[in-house]
Amino acid sequence: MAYEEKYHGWAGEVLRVDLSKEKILKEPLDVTLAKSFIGGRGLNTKRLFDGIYSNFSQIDPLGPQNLLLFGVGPLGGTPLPGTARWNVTGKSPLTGLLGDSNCGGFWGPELKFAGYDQIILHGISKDPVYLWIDDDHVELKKAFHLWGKDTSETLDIITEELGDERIHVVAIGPAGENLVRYACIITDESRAAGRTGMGAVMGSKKLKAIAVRGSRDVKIAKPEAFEKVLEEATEKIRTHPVYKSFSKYGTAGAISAANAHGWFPRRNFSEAYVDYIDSIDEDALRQYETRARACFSCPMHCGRRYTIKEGIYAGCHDDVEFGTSCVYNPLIDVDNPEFLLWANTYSNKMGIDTYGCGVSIAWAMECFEKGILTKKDTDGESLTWGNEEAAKRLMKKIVSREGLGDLLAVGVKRAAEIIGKGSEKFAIHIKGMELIQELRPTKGRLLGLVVAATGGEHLRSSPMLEWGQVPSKDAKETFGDANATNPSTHKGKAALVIWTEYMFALNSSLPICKFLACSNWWGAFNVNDYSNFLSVTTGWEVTGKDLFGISERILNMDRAFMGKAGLGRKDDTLPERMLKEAIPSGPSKGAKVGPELQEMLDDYYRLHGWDPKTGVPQEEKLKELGLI
Amino acid sequence: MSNSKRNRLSIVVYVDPPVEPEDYCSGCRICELVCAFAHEKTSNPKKARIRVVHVGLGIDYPIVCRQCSVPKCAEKCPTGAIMRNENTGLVSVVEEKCIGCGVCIESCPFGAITLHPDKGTALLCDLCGGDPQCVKYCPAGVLRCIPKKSSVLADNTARAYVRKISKGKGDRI
Repeated sequence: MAYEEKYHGWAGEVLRVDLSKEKILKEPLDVTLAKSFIGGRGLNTKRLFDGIYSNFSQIDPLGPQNLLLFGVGPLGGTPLPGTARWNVTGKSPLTGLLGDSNCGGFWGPELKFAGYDQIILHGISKDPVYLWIDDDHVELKKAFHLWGKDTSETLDIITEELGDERIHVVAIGPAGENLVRYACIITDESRAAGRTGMGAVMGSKKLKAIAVRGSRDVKIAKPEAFEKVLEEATEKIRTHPVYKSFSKYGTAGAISAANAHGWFPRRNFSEAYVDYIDSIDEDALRQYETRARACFSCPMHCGRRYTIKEGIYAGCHDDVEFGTSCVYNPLIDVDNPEFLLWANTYSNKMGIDTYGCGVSIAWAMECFEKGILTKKDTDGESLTWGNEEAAKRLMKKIVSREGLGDLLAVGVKRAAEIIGKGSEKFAIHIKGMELIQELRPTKGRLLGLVVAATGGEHLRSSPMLEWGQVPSKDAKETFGDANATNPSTHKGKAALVIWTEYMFALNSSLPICKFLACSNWWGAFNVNDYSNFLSVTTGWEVTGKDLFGISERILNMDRAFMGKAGLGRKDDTLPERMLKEAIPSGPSKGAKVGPELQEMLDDYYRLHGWDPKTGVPQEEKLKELGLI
Repeated sequence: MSNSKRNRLSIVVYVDPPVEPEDYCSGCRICELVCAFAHEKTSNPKKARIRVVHVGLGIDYPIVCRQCSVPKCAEKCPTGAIMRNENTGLVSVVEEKCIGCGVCIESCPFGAITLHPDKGTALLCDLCGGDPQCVKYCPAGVLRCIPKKSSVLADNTARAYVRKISKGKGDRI
């Protein structure tokens, strides 16, 4: 079908690929559907909902019935700041719930330039393949020669093969091929759609990569107004008080602050503070930095390139973000920043989620310390805290699923169920997804992560505003409580979490980067800015209130999947360690979880209009929202 | 063209030498996007007159017309579509005359010329009529618009060099 003139912002076409039948279909984007769910996460979730919700619990995440969706919203590919994000969605092999991950880089906008808003993948390919999208030309190519290759090698070979340095690629590494349940998808050299194991779904479908080249326009509906909006938006970001430090350190800038607050998980969350922070903090990392690296169309350039000049970790290393710096340093008690840089790059090349991998290793180390795992189980390895050599070898075994690595490749929840002996008590996960944030001292984040419908991840609902200052007048107005963003109180937290959920749902659907927008840092963009961006780009007159209505639909689908999988309020809880133990030392000493969690949950379900007993939307609610 | 006109000419350059990691091009390609938008009122980096080249791991470098004093592109152009504008002194493309043969692409030693993906005609930086949008939006501030006048580029580098070797001696207190 020819590219339609009527679309602005949206590219206007959806690509449907049946991998079992090797069939490729192009469909026009349904404008009414797009205006109800925007794009990216929203539209992906809706397609998954329509596709597999009715028999959700019977769907094998690694079987042919699971869908895998890639989507980019209408702002993707425009010059607006931070709009390079794309989403990948399917049923998660890690949690059995909704799987959805959001990623930056250059690939999402390139897909728009090729003329597509979404790719829907069905079935399982007989042979390893990769998808090549070159504007109108779409083709499944054999990938025998790529199978077993890491993500950088895959990028290099595909680039060479297609003869163009400017194509962009998403790929899985050996971990995805080997169905490691927290395998991720890597785009170009280092950006990851990290969580919920979408790399394993891609691996199960025998789809090694998707390469894209586009030369079409993302059309702008109102160029004159757009120009003004672009100028103001750029100005707003670049004059924001946090811009300077964020563009200098990226998310790693949070390392020293997290430690100073006692929010820095050490030794599998048995402590929350390290005394060797100077050797691993953002300034320690800074000495290796050679370049700031941005995603497409982003003035923040939060990514870094690091070069280690000599020693066993010598070489050029990928971007490190805050969560990864937690898992590969304090969580396993390694005080060497060079190990962090190596482990991060290695994870990217192999296509494993750094969080899933790091938490699994930390759990194994604690099992070893407690004698639950012995040298017989660890292939003779002495898995002591801080043993980076052992951690290195274990990572390799997770990827290839050998020995103890095979156990850890299924995620910490399943691994603890297999091993037993009380190891479940310190398996740090929520709903089967490994957790990397210390939550006990920060009540908003505690609630946010406990209720996230994809499991223990911070990108659905974790109120980042607790990190900074929100003027009390603004907090009162927006969240109904002047102290809502103060981490230590639990009043107003349900409203804060829901506001964050709504903003994050929009961030991943428009798309606009969460790190860049005010969902993280007060005073940058608000929901009315979002509606303004949409209207100048697409010509669709929409209000901030309408957008929050869309968020509500997205959130209800997320939780409906949870209900369908048999989960509910009883699963909105913490790992036993966090629930029962107080933090023993450091600046957050004594922080623990009390009855406030249940109070916050009551508030949260009530504000969402969900049954407080089950904690998930009932059929009437889904009907009322037009979802079923 | 007289020397005085050529001396008033400005060009967009990638400023060296960087000091901090943030002083390098970050590879965001905002320059491409705002260039295409300024000229075509749409979003499509393939319609930009400036391109960020990415090589190796994390090396990005913006490539744009340097307004050569002896422009090989104009010399080779079979239809006279690329020529120096007598009023502005700028080497530019007269779109009506361009046949999209690509000889200019072959002759540019920087690879600064590409073809418009729809029209097939040559794309060459025109400095946005004196207010280059790439310079305005470059977040790293590494793109600058400076006079082409031969000694200015050299003077900047020379001053940085002398400062470096004099190690702060002579600075005002």
